[in-house]
Amino acid sequence: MNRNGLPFLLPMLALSLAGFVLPLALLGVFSFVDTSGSPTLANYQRLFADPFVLSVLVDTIALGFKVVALTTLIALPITLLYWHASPALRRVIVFLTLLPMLTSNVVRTFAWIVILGRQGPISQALVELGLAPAPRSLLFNETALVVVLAQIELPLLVLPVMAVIARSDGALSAAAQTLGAGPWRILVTVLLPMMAPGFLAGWVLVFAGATTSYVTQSVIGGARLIYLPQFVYREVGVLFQWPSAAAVAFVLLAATSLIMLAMTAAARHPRLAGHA
Amino acid sequence: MLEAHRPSDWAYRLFVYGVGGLAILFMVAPVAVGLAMSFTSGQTLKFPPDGFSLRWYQALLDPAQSAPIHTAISHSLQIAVLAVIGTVLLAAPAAYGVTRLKPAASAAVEPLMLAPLVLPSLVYGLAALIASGRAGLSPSFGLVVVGHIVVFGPLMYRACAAITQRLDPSLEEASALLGVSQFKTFLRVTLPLMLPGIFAGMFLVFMQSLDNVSVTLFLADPRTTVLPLRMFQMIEESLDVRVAAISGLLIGTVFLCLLVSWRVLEPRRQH
Amino acid sequence: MTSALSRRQFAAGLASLPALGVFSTRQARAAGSVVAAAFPNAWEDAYRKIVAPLVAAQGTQLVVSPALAQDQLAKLLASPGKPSFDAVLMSPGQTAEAVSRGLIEKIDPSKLKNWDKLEASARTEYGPNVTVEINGIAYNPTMVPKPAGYKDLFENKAYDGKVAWIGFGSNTAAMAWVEIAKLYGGGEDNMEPVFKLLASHMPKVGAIANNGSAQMTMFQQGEIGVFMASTGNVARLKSLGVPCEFVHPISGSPSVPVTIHLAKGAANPEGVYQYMDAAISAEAQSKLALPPTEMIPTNSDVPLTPGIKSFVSEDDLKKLVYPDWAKINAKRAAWTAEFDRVVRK
Repeated sequence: MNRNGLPFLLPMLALSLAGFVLPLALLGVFSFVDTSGSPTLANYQRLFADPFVLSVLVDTIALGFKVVALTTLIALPITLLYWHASPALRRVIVFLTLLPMLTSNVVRTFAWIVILGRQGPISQALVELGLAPAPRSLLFNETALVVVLAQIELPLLVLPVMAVIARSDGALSAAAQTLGAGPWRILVTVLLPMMAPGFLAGWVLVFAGATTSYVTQSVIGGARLIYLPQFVYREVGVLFQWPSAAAVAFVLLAATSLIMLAMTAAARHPRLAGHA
Repeated sequence: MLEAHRPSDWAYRLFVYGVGGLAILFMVAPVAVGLAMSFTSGQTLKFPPDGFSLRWYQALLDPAQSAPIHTAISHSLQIAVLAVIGTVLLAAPAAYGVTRLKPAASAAVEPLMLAPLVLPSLVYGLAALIASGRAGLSPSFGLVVVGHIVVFGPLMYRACAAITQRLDPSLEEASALLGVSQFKTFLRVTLPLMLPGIFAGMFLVFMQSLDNVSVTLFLADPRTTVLPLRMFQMIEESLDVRVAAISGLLIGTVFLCLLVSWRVLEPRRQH
Repeated sequence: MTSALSRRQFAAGLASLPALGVFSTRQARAAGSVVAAAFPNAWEDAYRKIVAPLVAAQGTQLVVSPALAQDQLAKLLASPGKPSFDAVLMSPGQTAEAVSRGLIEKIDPSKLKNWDKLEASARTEYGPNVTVEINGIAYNPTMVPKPAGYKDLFENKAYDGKVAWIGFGSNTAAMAWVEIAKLYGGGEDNMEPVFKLLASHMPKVGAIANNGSAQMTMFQQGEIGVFMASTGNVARLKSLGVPCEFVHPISGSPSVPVTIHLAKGAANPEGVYQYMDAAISAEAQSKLALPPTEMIPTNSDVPLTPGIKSFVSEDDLKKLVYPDWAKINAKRAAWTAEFDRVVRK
């Protein structure tokens, strides 16, 4: 290891500094000036004094957590199926997981509009089963939005977990089985700790995706559910409040970073990272 | 592989195969719905479709009707290909370089490399627009490409780092003993070993770049119409079925590529 | 790291990029081309098919770029002096804003051959009006009875859960809200009655949409049966085979001209004049007056088509209402923010 890796790293570092760190620093500066350019804290004061903006922030973060929770519940059986599958079946599962990623976000979102709409298959089935008196729309509420976002973000959680599984061997699980442990016990003591790094990596992506997907939030949620991306877009595109938009963006960034840091710290925890 | 003797084992099998199957169905069903709708003979997106026809695929391929879509597809493909090239050139070497640093240094650099991955891309788009405006650059095709390289570079980095972190340094040391320069060693020894990671990264970067709205929204000039925004506009106003047909074509193409690559890569996997 | 330093480093870093050839290929704006913004989809398609060939015949390539009026304004603001569009397409709501921020220029009518053919009301100092959009209520006759006016939508039970509304960012919506405010004791400077009405009516609202296009989707999917629309929206939906009819509210039909403006600092002003001239020519307007766009012509040589007459009778044309945009714009931002707060769940 006496060789020097720095030359290989420099181009990416340079781009990262010029194309990423500097714009963000500028955005930070921008959020501390008023429209005439003199320094002010007013952009942030306005944000934190306005219960509306605060509740939008809280809702956005809550949305992220709800989607993370639901994707986890759905991803777990998929990844277990992958764990127990033969190599051929594993390949099929990988393909089925990649399939949604090949379909544009826009198309998946609109497929959901059709599925959940007043004249969609679910609404019609509810009427025919006598569970609903008349066709009704299942769109434009947070539950629908969480379900749709979960479907859209699911591959981002399933893929890292499957990657972890593919790297591991079955020896530990087989040993546990030989010692007489039941499948549930093996799941909790062997499989879950093994998959944990994959889940942590995926959660970060799912959280970032769910909190910032402007198209899905506005189309499935409708204009009555307001999250930060719509709010930023409105401040920039309709109200021309750029410094204020920069402040909102920075608060979103800070909140996301804190949550990501917590998740990454958890990933480094010896008990979670130990089995990777 | 899984032996079921006790009731809890049956519950477990039901959970894995039953619930797992349902979960996969949930993941794939909207895609199937989207695909099915692309073959409709009706005027707009509807499920179940009115009847079977290929008219929307024809309309999509017809230059007279779909020239603006073709332009957008061509822009998006160019952006995605340039972004893939850029990330291969920048992020793949970086993923190698970081493993050849002192642990303290790599721990400091790593979060910086991965940061764009977790940053809401909307925030980045706004920041990049403000910064480029200050630097006297107006939105352009080139800015979009740079933006995509910055935002999706970490995907390539991570896919490659998964491999470089497990590479056996003795191979390189052997090469060094033979007097081969570090750069040549990287090209001849390390890079071939990284290829699977690079391919995985290329796929991820390509797909994400093709579907990106938020970075492009802020950085593109009016001439650079891109596919996802074009699709969004088409579908939002008139539920244009050609949008579903675009996805159908994409899925078909990638499916073929995957089949071919599995066939081609198969013999190598067996050592 | 001070911001001045970082800015300089950043500029230096980016300045080296053109050397890579990434920017040069596309940035070069051909001398013989004009970038014109048009509203996405219907307008954009029509302008590309009908107006662009006429401009091309004069030796200039017309690049039609899709953007909503408010997005055009935002993009002009993002890079003042180096506009991303040479020509923009706006209604008075945005025009007033663009004028006050110095983003568009007064035009020289002597450069337009067809200027004198325009109806007098269509000649403005900031550019020619290419059409007048007449707004009213669109409804699905298979779903709801024909509405009489705005009050009907709030007071007749038949419309509960069937009507979509949008916020003040949209011109169509802003005008409808002004009309509704007048009916309930407010006006262009007093929107309180509307917010009170909305707050109490929220449980019976069909949907709140993010913009006009989203409403069209909801309408096609049968999610809603009524929305505030222009005759152009209805023409478009009809051409897609969707059951849709247009109603003039009894209180009058709020109307807006649509104008082509010359962006300040446009790379090719001569080309913009060629484009304006083509867009107001009888040749272009007679084609634009046909389905699916059915735009009302402003060139006095172009007769109203039977299709347009079915939307607007001579009588209707007398009852057009032109809102006071200066008053609306003064409070628009506040109303937009207030609307979000009222409708939010």
